[in-house]
Amino acid sequence: MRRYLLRKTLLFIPILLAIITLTFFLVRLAPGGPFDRDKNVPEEVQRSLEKYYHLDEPLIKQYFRYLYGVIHFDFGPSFRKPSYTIREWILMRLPISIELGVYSLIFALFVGCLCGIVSAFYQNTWVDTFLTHFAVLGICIPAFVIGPVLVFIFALNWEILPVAGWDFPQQKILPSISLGFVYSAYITRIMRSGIIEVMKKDYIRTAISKGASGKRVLLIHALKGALQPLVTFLGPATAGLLTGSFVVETIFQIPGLGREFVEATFNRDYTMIIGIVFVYALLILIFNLIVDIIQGYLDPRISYE
Amino acid sequence: MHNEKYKICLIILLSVFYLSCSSYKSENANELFIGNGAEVQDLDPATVSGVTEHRILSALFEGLTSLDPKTLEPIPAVAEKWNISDDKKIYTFYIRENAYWSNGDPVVSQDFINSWERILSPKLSSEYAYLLFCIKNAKKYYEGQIKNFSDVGVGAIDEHTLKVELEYPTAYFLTMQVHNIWYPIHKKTVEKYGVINERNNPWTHTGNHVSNGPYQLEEWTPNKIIRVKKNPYYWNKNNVSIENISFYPIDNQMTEERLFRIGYLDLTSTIPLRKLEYYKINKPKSLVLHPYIGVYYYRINVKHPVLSNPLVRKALAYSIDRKQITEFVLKGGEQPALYYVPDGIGIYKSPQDIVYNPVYAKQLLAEAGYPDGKNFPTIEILFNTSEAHKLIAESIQRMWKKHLNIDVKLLNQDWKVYLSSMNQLDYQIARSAWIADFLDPINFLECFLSYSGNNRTGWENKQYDILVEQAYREADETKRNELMFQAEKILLDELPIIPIYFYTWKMLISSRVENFNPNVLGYIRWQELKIKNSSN
Repeated sequence: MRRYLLRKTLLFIPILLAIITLTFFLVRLAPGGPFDRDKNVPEEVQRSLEKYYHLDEPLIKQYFRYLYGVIHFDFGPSFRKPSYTIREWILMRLPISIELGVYSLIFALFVGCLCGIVSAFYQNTWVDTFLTHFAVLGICIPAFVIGPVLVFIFALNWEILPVAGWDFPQQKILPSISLGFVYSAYITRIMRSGIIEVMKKDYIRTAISKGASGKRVLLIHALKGALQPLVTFLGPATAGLLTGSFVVETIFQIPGLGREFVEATFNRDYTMIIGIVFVYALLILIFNLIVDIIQGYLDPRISYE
Repeated sequence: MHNEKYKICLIILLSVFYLSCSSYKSENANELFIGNGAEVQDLDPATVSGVTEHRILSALFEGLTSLDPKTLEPIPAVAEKWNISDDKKIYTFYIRENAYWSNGDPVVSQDFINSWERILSPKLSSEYAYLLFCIKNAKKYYEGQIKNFSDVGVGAIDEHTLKVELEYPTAYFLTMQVHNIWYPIHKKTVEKYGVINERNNPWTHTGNHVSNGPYQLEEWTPNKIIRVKKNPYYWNKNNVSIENISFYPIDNQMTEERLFRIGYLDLTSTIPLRKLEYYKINKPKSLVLHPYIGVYYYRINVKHPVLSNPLVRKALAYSIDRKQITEFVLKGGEQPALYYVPDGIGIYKSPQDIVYNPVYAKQLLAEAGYPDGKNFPTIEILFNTSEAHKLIAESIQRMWKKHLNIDVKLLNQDWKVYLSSMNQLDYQIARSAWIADFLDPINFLECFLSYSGNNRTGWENKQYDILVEQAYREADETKRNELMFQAEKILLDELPIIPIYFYTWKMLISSRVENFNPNVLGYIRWQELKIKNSSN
């Protein structure tokens, strides 16, 4: 197990290096630079700007300069926010995205598992049909539709929840639901099929034949087996919740990293883009590793050697 | 059964949340809440360049002179009075004895000199440094031809007297002082947190910032809030009515409008196109629509083989029904642009040249060798991605097809790609705009100097260059206006650009706000605003 972890963690290095390299050169391929704007600055000003940020150097030199910085966890200054470094900026905004991601995940798991279990328990009844349709609908409707609809109902019509912001607990409800909704729909589907699948297994039949009640079989015996496909899904889902929060952050004016990422791309803020890509990549790698470990606990057949 | 419990749980949960803090807006009745568009780059007057930044900086800082929001005439600010020499090249400012920084230090002449020296240091790479090039030797200093800053035309006669020598009589020198690039800085503060002439200096962060305006920084949490409070050391503090102003960076127009609708915001940065009609009919008092010194135009690449013919450009310009665009597409009170320089800048009057005359346009196109649009190649209109730009381009596409029988394709590009295409003259016709940096026609006209970085059309005209350069140097106002008039006439004859409409300043304002005076600059003088019934 320890060897497996070490090997996996060491693998992070070449993967991250490849990601940084690719991002570094790709962002520079995009037309337009960080200082292109509606009103062009005079040439002499443009030159001194480029000199200050070393953009006048050969690309390869810039690349190694950047790599040297990354080794020291220095992602450089932001082109757009002159008084902040990328590290400060990311450390300030990542926690907010994580917080939003965690709430959404809790919402998605709670609603998804509940609906999935109910759906499986009442398989092929009207409850099941209703939940199945609900889930399909949920998968189809994107956050940029759900968000404004929720705002319209809860904030503008009933006036029980705020329109936007991220200061008070009640401001966090609508964004979390908007972001988690799609995932809750997926989880419903996964839970349902997982339980139905497991219910056909021999050990369940044994439990039933020993006289365990239906609910007990479902919640104690079947659930653990059904969790496996869910855990596999949760790895990429968690990463998706963290990295895919752009739309929700924009609708609800949340100062998270997702919005920053898109803004940085539009602004060609090179250092910011690479910095955020690096953080996202690292998060995805870590989540996948955690999923690997959890799966081992859930299924004794998986070996780490 | 299961569902019922769940429903009850949800209702309880929601009501607990709702009751726990029923008010999520600050209780302070004497506070103003502003939607301020995109997040600011910084709060350093030397390194920022946008309107969003200027709105906040004009609350935090104050220059030598300011503007009366009603008349847009220069009024005393940090300088209580000033003298101008007969040749209009030497300005002497007398700084108030009771002007102080927010930390209690007095504001002295050297504070302005420090700020301008910092901006003119190439290492800081201030994007608006060129506005200071009207000062004698400033450009040479920036370019490194002069090493010693004492050779630049600014000097402190004593602590409260500042002398500025200009390169040429700059008619707009006083009105330009409202721009953040001219604000003073507190050198000690800047040096405390970093190198004076380097970027990446956190002196602008919460707790560090020192300013000299009616307000001082209380909190800056990026992408969340910038809150300012009354500066207790401000010389005119007794006339500042509002205690706090909160600026929220809200880049989503729809969210901003929703926040305004529930009463969370008192002032917005703009209003979404599709909400205009609603406010016009239902809440006209909340809607501000005021002429604004900005012009929306189509740039033409005059290096293009067909568009290089002025007759073709003229035909294109004369066949656009601008009124239809302003009335049915924009609907925000915009004025059709029949010339290039917007109205409302002093006494300057543009030559009125371009009218809507499709018959004449058709004639011009025939003269150019394309009768009824025959053999005319398909041309392309480039615009950056936006709903309004697309609607306008579509209307113009239809007008040109109808009146000139020519085919037009539309091409939209992401903002930076679009800018890059324009810079490299890799376009045929491109949507563009100019919002004035200061209140003078020259700011519009200088864009089309043959060597200007903002020309981006490939157009050059010697006579035009000479006229604009003469206007820079002319001290007499009437003569100067005549020079600019002649220059604009050339521009409208040759038409490297097709003016389409003049902007309006569009925003929402709550009935709580009093003493607000809209003007063509979009300038808000925060210290003059009042809140209704703010006595409690």
